[in-house]
Formats: sequence, C-alpha cells, structure tokens
Amino acid sequence: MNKTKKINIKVENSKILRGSIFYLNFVAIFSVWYFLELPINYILGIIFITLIGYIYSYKNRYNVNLLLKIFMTLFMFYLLREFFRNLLLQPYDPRIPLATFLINLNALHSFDLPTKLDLSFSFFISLILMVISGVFARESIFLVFLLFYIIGLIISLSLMNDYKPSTKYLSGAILSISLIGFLLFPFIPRSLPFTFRQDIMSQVIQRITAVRGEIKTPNIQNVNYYLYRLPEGRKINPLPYDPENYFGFAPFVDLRQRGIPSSSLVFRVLSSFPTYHRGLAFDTYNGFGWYQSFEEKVDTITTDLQPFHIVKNPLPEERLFRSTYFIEKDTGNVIFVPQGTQRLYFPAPFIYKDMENGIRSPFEMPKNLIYTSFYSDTFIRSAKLLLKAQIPDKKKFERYLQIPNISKKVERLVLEITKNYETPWEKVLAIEKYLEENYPYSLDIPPLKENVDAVEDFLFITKKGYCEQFATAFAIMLRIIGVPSRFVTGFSPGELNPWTGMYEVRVKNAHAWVEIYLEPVGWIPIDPTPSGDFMEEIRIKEEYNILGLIFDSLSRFINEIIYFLYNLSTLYLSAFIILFSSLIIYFTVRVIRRFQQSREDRIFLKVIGMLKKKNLISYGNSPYEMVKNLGDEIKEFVSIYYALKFAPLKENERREYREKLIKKGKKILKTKSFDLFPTNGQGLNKD
Amino acid sequence: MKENILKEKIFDKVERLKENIKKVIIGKDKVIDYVICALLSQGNILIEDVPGVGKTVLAKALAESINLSFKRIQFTPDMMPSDILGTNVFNPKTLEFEFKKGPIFTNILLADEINRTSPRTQSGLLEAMDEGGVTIDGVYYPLPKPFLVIATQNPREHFGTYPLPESQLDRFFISITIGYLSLQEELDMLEKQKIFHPLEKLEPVLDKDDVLTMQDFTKKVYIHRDILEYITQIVRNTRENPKISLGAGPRGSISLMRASQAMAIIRGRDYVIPDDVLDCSVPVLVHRVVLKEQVESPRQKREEVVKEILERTKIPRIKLP
Repeated sequence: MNKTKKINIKVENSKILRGSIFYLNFVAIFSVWYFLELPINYILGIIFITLIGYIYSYKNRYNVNLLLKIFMTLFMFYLLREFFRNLLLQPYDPRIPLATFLINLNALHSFDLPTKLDLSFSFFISLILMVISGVFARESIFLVFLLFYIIGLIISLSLMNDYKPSTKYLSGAILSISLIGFLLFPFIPRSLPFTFRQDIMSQVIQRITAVRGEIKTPNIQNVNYYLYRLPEGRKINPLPYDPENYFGFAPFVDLRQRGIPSSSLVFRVLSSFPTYHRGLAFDTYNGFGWYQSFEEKVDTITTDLQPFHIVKNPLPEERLFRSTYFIEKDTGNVIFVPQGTQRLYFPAPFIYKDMENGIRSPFEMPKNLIYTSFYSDTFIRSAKLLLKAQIPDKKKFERYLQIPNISKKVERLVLEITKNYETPWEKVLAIEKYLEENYPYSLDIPPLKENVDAVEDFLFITKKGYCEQFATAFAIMLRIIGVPSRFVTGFSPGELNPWTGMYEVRVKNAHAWVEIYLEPVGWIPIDPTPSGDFMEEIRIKEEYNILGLIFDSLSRFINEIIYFLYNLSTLYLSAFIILFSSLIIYFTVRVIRRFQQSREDRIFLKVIGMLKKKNLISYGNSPYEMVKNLGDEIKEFVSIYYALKFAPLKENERREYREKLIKKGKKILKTKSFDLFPTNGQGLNKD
Repeated sequence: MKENILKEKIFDKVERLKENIKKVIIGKDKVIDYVICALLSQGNILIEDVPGVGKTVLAKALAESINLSFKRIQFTPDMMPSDILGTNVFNPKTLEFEFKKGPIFTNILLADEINRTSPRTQSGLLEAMDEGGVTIDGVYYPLPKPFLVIATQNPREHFGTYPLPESQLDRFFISITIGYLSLQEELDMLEKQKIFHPLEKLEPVLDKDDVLTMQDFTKKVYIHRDILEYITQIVRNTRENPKISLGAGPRGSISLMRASQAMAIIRGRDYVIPDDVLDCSVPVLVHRVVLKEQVESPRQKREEVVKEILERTKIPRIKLP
C-alpha cells in the first residue's frame, strides 16, 4: 500500500549542513523562548520534535513520503487556523503568534527536508525568529545568543554554497554585512513612529507580587498619607513637589503643593478622537486636599480571555471606539482610560476597580507597556437629556455631598450665581461660566495660608489658580446646591503628532476636573478650567485625527479578514478531523504490522550480531552466504527468515513461520558454546 | 495439494540429476548447478575454458542422465553452415530432393571451439538455436525438444580464433568456466577412473517429459516484486557503471530472472531469494558487458567488475547491522 518510491531530485547528503541548520534553529528557538517568555515545556517539546524530524528526514531523504506530505499539508492548515485564532483571542503583539506559528511550522517542516532548498527554508525561519527575538530583546544578553547564532551561520552559509569560489565571496560579504547589522541592531533606538502596529496590548505579565490594589505612587516613599486625612494633617508640611510626577495620582491630593510640571512624555495614545484620560476620582474634601474614603475597597476584575469587562454587558467592539496607550515612562499603577470605557485589554491576569470607577493595575506600569481601551460615547449622545436631568436621591450620594466647615460667604456666592436658573443642569452651567469668566488660569500662585480653606482662598483671596483650584471650588459649589460631585484627576488629550498619528501626553498635561451625577444620565465630566472644554465640545469641534481613523479602520479591516479566514478554516476543521482520525487508524494498523514485522527483523539482527561477536561470521553482502559454513540450526533459522521475507505466504503461515523463527532465534541466542553449530569442516570465515 | 506433490517430485528429480552428474564431475558443484539451471530455463551455455577440463564429459553426463540424444560438432575454420544444419540431397531413386538432417537435430549439442570457425557458420548455428528450428530452401524443420547447446570457446586471446561479436554472445543464456581441480580432487578423480570411466556406467534418471514439466514449473516460481526491482537495479547498474562501455540489455534482465527461478528450484525452493540472484548474476551477466579500457578484456576482469556492482547494490528487505 505504501510503496516508497525513489525520487529524482537533488538530495542533500551532508550531515554537517543538516546539523548546522538544526543548530541555528535551536539557537533561534531558545532565543525566542528567552525574550518572548514562552513556556519552557513547549519549547523543549518543539526542540525534541524538530530533532526527530531532522533525523527522520535524513533517513527518508530518498523517499517520496506522499502520506507524510498530505498529513503535513493538513497539519499546516490546522496551524494556520491556530495562528488566526491566537491573533483573535489573545491580541497581544501579533509577533508572538507569528513566532509560535513559525516555530510550529518549522517543527512540522523538519520532517521533510530532502533538498538544499528545503533546508534553506528552515534556515530563513530561524533568521526570522532571530529577528523577532531581537526586536523583543531589551537586554544585551541578546548578543550572547547572536554570537552562538553567527557561529552556526558561518558554517551553514559556507556549506550551502558548496564552496564555490564565486559564491564564496558573496556569502562572505552577506555574512559580514549581516554580522555588522546584527551587532548594530541592539543599539538602534527603537521608537514607535513610522511603524504600523496592529498590536493592542503587550505580553501579559504573569509574575505579580502581592498587591491589594492600593494606589502606588512612584518616587515617593515612607509617606503616611493617612495622616493628611486627619484634622491635624494641616500642621504637617505639604508634600514635596515632584515635577516629573503629577501629585494627583496619590491617595491624598494635597492642594498646598506648588510647582511647575516638566514636559517629559508619559504616554502616547493612538485614537481616532482626542479624549480626556481619566485616572482617579476623589469623594472627600477636608479643607486642603482630596482623598477617597474607600481607597482600599476595590473590586477585582479577572478574565481568562482578554479583554476585561469594565461594565456589565459591554457593547460589542464594533460599536466602541478604540484607544491604545503606549506607556513611555515608568508610572504608578493608575490605568488611564477614556471616559466610558467598557472593554479593556490590559496585560495582566486581573485588574482592580475602585469605588470611584478608577481602574488600577496590579503592578506599577513599566515603560513600553501597551494597553487598549474600547470606550463608548453614549454619554455624549445623551447630551440632550441633560436639560431635563434631575438631582438624584440624596441618601445614596451622601459622600458626594459632604462639605467641610466652609464660611457662609461661599454659600451666599453660590446662591447668588444660581438664583435665576431652575433646572440643575442650568445651575451647573451658570457656576461653571462664572468661574471661567471671573478667574484667570495661572500656575504662579502663593502658598496656601494656614487655617484658610482652599476654596475660600481661591474664590476670595488669591482669585486665580490652576485646574485643581478650579475643580475643587467647582465641586464644592455644586455640593452646596445639592448636586453630587467628585474631583477627578487625569490627563488632558495632549498634542497630536501629525507624523505618528498619536497624541503625545506629557506630565504638564496632567489635569483635574469634576464629575457630577444627574438622573438619568449618570456621571457627567465637566471641566471648569478656563482653558478646558466641556467634554462634549471636544466632539462638536470635529477634531478628527485622520491617521488615527486610518489606523482604526485598518485594524478593524484586518480583524474582519482574520475573522473571515478563521471562519473559513473551521470548515477545514471537520474535514481535517475526519481525515486525521482515519490517518490515525491507518497509522496504528501500520505500526502494529510493522511492530510484528520488526519482531522478526530484531531477532534476526540479534542472532547475526551475536554470531559476529563470536567471530563465527564476517559481514558480507548476504546473510545466506555468511552462514553457509555454520551448523544446520543457524542455516535453517536464516532460511526461515528468508521465507518470511520473500515467499508467497498466507497470513496464518506467516504467523507460524514468525513464531518458529523467534523460537529458533531465542534458542540460538541462549546457546553458549559453539559446539551446537558445527561447521562443515571448511573452516570459519572462508569466502 | 496436487501442486505440492508435483513440487516435491520436481525437487527430488533435480536432486537426483545433480547427484548423477556429480558421479562423473568431481568438485564442480557450482558448474553442475549452472548447467541444470540453463536446462531448466531453456537457455544455452557458453563455456569459456582451456582444453581438457571436462567440457565434453559434462555435456555427455547431462545427456546420459536424462536419456537424451547427444551430438558433438568440432568447429574448424573451413566449416560451412550446411555442415551443421543439414542440406537437401537429390535422391536418384525417387527423383526428389531429400532433406538430410545435420548434427543440430539433437537434444544436447556440444559445439566445440565455436570461435575457431568463420562468423558465417557461427551465426548459422546461433540463429538456429535462437529460433528453435531450421529453415532450408523455404521449408521449416523444428528442432527436437528439449534443446540445449553447450558451446565451448577457447580464451579469446588464443591464436587463430574468430571472436564472437557481442550480439552473438548475448544469445547465450549463461557463460561459465570450469577451471582446474584442486590437488585432492584431482587425486580422487584419478582413483575413480583407474579401472573404468564412470560415464560408461551412468544411468538415466529422468526422461524427456520430466524435463519439459520442470521447464514449465520453472516459469511459475514466485518472485517477490522487490527482487524483480533488485534484478533491474543490478542490470541498470551495469549500464551506468563508469568502467563499462556496454552494459547488459533487457534480455540480460530476463535471463537473470529466469536463472534465479531455476536456481531456486535447484536449491529446493519455490520462491526466489536474493542469493539466487546473486549467484546467477556473474555467469548471466559477465559475457554481456564490454569494458571501456579494453574491448577484448579477459573474463577475469569482467567478473571483477560485475562482482563489484553486486556488492554495491543493496539487497532488498534484508536488514543487516
């Protein structure tokens, strides 16, 4: 059935070349393992399979192996399908599914490497894997892998060209260029601009030290934020100002801090529209700062399959807007997302969500981290409802209405501003307008005097300030008229870089604003700072980011193609399963047959090996010839073996002969002395 | 069951034939095997050897053992084809031409020193043995069955010979040499022949019909496909060997297959094993190849090349360490 036919192609016989190519693959796979953090079991298994494949393809290099090829083709389809599935299910970096796909493909292909061309495919796959791991490498240890790789590269390149002088120089040139390129590669600064990337999150970080979800602030140690919450906290000196880190992302926002933020880059955002990046929200004001009354109380959101669902029953991705964040600077554990985020791809096994809808990562976010939020704009669409919106039941929102001891001056001012308006929304707009028109924005303000409330200081003494002052005053004024409000810190949209199509958000873009709660709309963000806008105004301005739109639609298009191909590939799957199972049955039958056949071969080899060991025979062309001077027992044994191999036997006869052969073989093997195998007097080892 | 009995009978008869010939020819078991092999495969034998090693005795012993008619032609340079095939002679009594049969009308023909006669006569004989009959003046006369030619030729380099061309040589089924006996064997032979020649006391063990059934049976011997592949591989290798300028043709492969089948019967088997092929390869192929370095190369050199080819060709299905 399985006639192995000989093939008429130029078969590669060099063991050294095969060995060197395998070595290249070995190094490349290990380097991918190291830098892409793939599981070690998988890698060891793959290397084992590849090794077996190399040996198998060397032994069968003259055969057509049609069955194997059919099997390989089917399996390649399957691998392709898995590749698509990985792209869809675990949208980390597409390079990781690509790398695993290539590794799997290479392991499969290693079973059929008769010619030099096939070997060169394997070689190129190792090269691609090396490049992928080089892209991922952030440590100079890559040079070690590179060194090992180049050793193999020299051997295989020279062997591949058969030492022809003309190509020898060429390969030398290629080798030296690639050597220089490889050596320079790790030092080339790799930045995001000008690269089209479909990746929406980095690789999942599994190793997490125990975190309970508390807010972590970079560069600040040994500060007991809880002391500031107490009334005596007023007597403690203000927290030192850190121009590199905004003080709003801390358990306590101290309004006494003064300073000018630096303009270093915090993150880049790839999105179709400019959005505010919400960080934390605070509900309690104590006269000089904000804190969360339930800072430690967090919900843990886990997922086996990305993304995380931030809200219950999120909309499908097609109806949401995408915004991908590329962290450029080590920051704390506050995850910045646009208002209305419903799905979040974040490279962690779980995330935290606090009482104020702030999202926190279980680790401090390192540089180069990538995550993506899918947010809805339902709040903007419901803007028309605002005019009829009502103040909710006060009991539920007690903590958003809490006011510390504030002088009656503030209350009177608020009532004065809002006396001509009826609906809550109109009153809110009136207060906002009052603040924007009468108070200038300034970073240069004197320190807060002792025993003076921050709101009073802003409204009546300093009469200018920056966003924290505006937001604090606005929030407290709204609370006076009974509107639940909270203080929000985050980032303003940042500047659009037209070359990269990304918004660049810097420390100086750190911002604070206010969220109010009105029935039936929910939490509404409002920015009372003069330079800021209403949230909805951003959209009304129609400030589209063309590149962002292109990227968004492209990624959606690619996604659809992948979906289509994936659905197509499920069609294969059923056919594949049927074929696969029939192949398995066929192969098991074959293996059983071969095992039975190999039993006779094994006993025969054992006997011949023993005779040789005892110097009774020397190896010649034919066993029949070899044993012709030995005793009848052995001669008979050999002739039974020959009959099994060449005679036209029926199945039962064959079985009988096989049993006889094995019985005889065992008997011969047990015999210790030579006397049982008398020679015919012509001597041993003749002819 | 019937077949099994036939099989056993044939094996037994071949064994008896062998034993019978062994009584006369001492120490040349292999040569006897080849001769019987040619008989079973309906092929003709070319013996290349020096005079006086027992060529005639061998042919006679074979003929006597089977109760077949035997004739001998001593070839000389002045011989004509009609001297072998026969001729039409005018009979004055009947006033008609009568066909007078030549010596070729026999079962076993010993053509002695075939390379001493002219090419014309040689080809006359070879055509007759190839076609199994003689056509003279438009009338076809079939040769008796079984028919076996045992031709002898002196080594080619000997003086006064007309060497057979390759095309003629190809018509011989196998070519063998007998060679001298070892010292002990020659001594035995002298002892045996002191009083009378054993040929005189030889009795037939087979008859004509037995030979025909055996020849029939030979064609039915089972050959595994891998062995056929092995045979073609060997023959192909003679064509592709760099030392050989002219390899064996398809007739060589057919002959090798037939010889292997016959050899299997001689060794008491009804299926062919690679060793049968191995043993037959040298006599079947050696006269069919022409070496590059020397067109008229001695047999020994050709044998070496063929053996080299055999060693290089992988035996099928047998696993060896």
